[in-house]
Amino acid sequence: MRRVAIIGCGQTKHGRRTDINQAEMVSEAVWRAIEDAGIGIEDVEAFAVGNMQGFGGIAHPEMIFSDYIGAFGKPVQRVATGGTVGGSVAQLAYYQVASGMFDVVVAVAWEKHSDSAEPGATTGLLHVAFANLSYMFKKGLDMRSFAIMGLAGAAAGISAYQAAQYMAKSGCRIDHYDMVAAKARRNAAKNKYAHLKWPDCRPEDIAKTEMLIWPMRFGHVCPASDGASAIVLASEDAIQRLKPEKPVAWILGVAAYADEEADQGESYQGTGVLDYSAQIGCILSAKKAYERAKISDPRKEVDMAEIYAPFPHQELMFSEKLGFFDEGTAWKAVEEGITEIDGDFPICPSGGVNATNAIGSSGLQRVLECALQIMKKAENHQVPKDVEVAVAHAWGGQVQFNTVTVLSDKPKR
Amino acid sequence: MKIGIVGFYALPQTYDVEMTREKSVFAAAKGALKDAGLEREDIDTVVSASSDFYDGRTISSSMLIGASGAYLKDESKAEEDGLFAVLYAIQRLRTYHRTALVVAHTHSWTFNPHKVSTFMLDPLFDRQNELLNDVTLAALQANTYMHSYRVSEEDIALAALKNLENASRNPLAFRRITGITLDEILDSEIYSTPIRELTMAPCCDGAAAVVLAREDVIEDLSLDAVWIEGVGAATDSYIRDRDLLEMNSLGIAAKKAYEMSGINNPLDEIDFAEVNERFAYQELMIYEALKLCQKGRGKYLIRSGITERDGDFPVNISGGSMGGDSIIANGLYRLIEAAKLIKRGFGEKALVHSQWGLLAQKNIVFVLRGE
Amino acid sequence: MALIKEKFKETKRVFGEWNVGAYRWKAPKGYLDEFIKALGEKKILGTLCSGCGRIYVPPREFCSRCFRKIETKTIVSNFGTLLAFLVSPPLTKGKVLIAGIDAVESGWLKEGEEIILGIVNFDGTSSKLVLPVLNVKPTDVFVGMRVRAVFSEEPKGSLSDLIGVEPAEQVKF
Repeated sequence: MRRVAIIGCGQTKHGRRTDINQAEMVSEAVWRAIEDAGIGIEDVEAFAVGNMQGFGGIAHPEMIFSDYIGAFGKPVQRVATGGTVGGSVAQLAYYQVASGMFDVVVAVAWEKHSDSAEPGATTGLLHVAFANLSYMFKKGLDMRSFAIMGLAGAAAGISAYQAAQYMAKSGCRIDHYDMVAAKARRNAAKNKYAHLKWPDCRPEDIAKTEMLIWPMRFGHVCPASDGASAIVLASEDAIQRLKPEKPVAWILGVAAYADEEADQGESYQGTGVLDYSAQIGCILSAKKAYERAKISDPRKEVDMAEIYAPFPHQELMFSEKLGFFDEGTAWKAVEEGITEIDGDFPICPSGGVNATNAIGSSGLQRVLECALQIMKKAENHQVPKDVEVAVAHAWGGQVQFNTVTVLSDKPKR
Repeated sequence: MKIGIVGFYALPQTYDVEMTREKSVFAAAKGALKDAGLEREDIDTVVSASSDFYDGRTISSSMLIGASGAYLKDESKAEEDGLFAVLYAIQRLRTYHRTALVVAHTHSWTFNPHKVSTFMLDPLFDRQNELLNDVTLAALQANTYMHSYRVSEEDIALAALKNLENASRNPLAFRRITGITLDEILDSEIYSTPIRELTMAPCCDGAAAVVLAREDVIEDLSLDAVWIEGVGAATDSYIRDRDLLEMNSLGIAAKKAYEMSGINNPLDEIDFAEVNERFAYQELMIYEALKLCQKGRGKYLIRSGITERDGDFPVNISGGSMGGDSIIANGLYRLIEAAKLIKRGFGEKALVHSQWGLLAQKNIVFVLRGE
Repeated sequence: MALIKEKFKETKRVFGEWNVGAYRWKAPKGYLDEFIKALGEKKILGTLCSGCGRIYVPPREFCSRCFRKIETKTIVSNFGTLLAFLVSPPLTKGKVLIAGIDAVESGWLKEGEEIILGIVNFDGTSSKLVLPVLNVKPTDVFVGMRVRAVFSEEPKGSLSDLIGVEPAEQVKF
């Protein structure tokens, strides 16, 4: 099995981008990544692409801009796994190269929420459950019950239930969620590509925002951004051949275990998941990814993490599932500032998904940001400590898919 | 590291609004495992294929995790023709995993598949005129092809006739018309000149699954395998930006597959083929792209009878897409039909093709070999 | 790469609106419909997997863990435990919009009411349901509270025949 590294990264500015269309946005990211890698488009042999097509209203959009990204004559493989699509795309690209089929590939994931009529990614998110909702209405769901279900909002939805269940199990307080959200906005202010920037955001600022449904505040909710991110992956031999002068970020291990739906199955059938915050899939993915990366003690061997947390409780919850803190104790680390950009174990120095959420792109951004940190190219949001091993995580689906990617500055440990 | 197909199962193609997708996917996955003689515990990774737009659900695979056998397994999905999921599974098998299950499905009654094609169009120009969809685009390409190479309607109808005759004998096919005649085809309803009812594929329901394994596992467990010798995939430019006279990306994909499997003369070295021809005229263009004949000479190949079921190079013994187009599952049906024939000893090497996108923008080709 | 954009500073916007149309979905017979029938009799129905013994509520056709079809339906306990809960602020007009319609203004939700949503696990099942917690003040709700299902007195044969849960007797000193 070959060793694979990320040799170039490119992203667009995320936010509300009404100045470009999907094709231009994606090509912006792809070309920036290729330039950053120091190669030419003729060196790229295959593409891994993904986005959630329902949001932008184009079915299989990569067909429309295959020329924009230089894909003519090359294989393009597409994935769509919900929030983690970016993570899945990065892993697909890893498999493309590690399998020996291709030497150099480009992975790109994107989302253009502003193209949809309703703000806040509502249509696309509602469609996850639309089939179930239609059936429930047919069976006589009344508007009061529906309105009660909708209290948490389409965007927060199950995540609000998860936030409540995590709090119940871990004993943290809503202040901890405020702390994490404030950290995200502060870090995002240092990241030129991020969406919601707030340089001096304090937990009290978040606490002042409107309470949607306790424990979910408006200040906890991520924005719906437009954006694209792309990375170039290459095999060991290709790196020798192409000789990019800059440092690279090696991918040591990947895993993506899927759990049952967290809330309800097809047609409102029950699922065997008792706890939204149990995230067995994440624990299994993390264990497998560490095993493949030959990491035996994540707490000692991993330097930082980019966790997919559109809502602050998820940063706490997943940092425990990924093995960085004991169950139910992540909130203590936040209190002590351990997860700050200059702390012992920085989490989401880029501001994370809480500050920038272009659903397709955000999963890939986690891998990209880890790579930037390892290559010391994160500019203003570079963490001060040396990053030898970084972990990128993304979740998707009905909070059931989890992709875990382990990156390092060296090809093997 | 060679990869082999060790089990497969395809449900009979149908149009059944009473069948839930959970039931179809479960039946396909269970059937393929049974055929391989393996249990769910023996599978290392699952790659499913389904499309959000066709299923009407965002993240269409999320509620099928249990039914596709992917519970607490390392899994992913491909959002296009099932053969791309097979490609992804092969890439996974060549790294960490030893066995893989690939499941694909589409129920065409959920949403009119032809409507989805309008959403594949660029929203800035092509979608605005409301004239274009996959059928009218096919008419455009068919007319271009027919005029440039003097191909007649009858030449195209002969390809449809061959496939419909073959389909009438295939229990898995959807459209089975016994005693179909050329006149019936040429008299069938016009959708968009020259595309007729019987020269285009009928959209239907389908669910299929295959189990793949690495050669060391196949040896250890003494499994029967159909080997995957070569694979090639390529993407073309968008419809407006390319020459519609040939299937460029199929030519590139086939070349890659031939190189990988050491084939120099496909007509001689391969025994038969299963191709995805969403419109009958496409079969002629596919012959040319696969280098079975020169450009524009597809009509001679069809008239020669070489591609009939009793010819020297049978194409679409299963009836191809003329017998039924289950969209995402289509490629897997072609793969399974070819694997079945190889196991029966019908031939030693087979070519399997599928397409995706408007006017076959993406193409993928596999070369299979029996033991 | 020099994009054409650098030459043209202003971009043109093209508008289009497409109604995707209607989808059809199929639900399995004998699952949610049986669940609703049981609600009319003030009972909760689930399915029991004979492979692993998991009970799913609402009834489920396939067990993911065992990868098999579930044949047995069973009535489950009306009593359960509150795993976690959420509390809405006192509802006002203009805050809760469902498909563009104001839920408070249209009377679906009452102005000023505080809705408590509970994540409930009925005894013996492996599933959870999100249901309103009734007849209790938000300050008196706690994690681990024992609750009992509350059914409608005039069942209409719909999902809302299970109105929610209310506190059951708490066994403690």
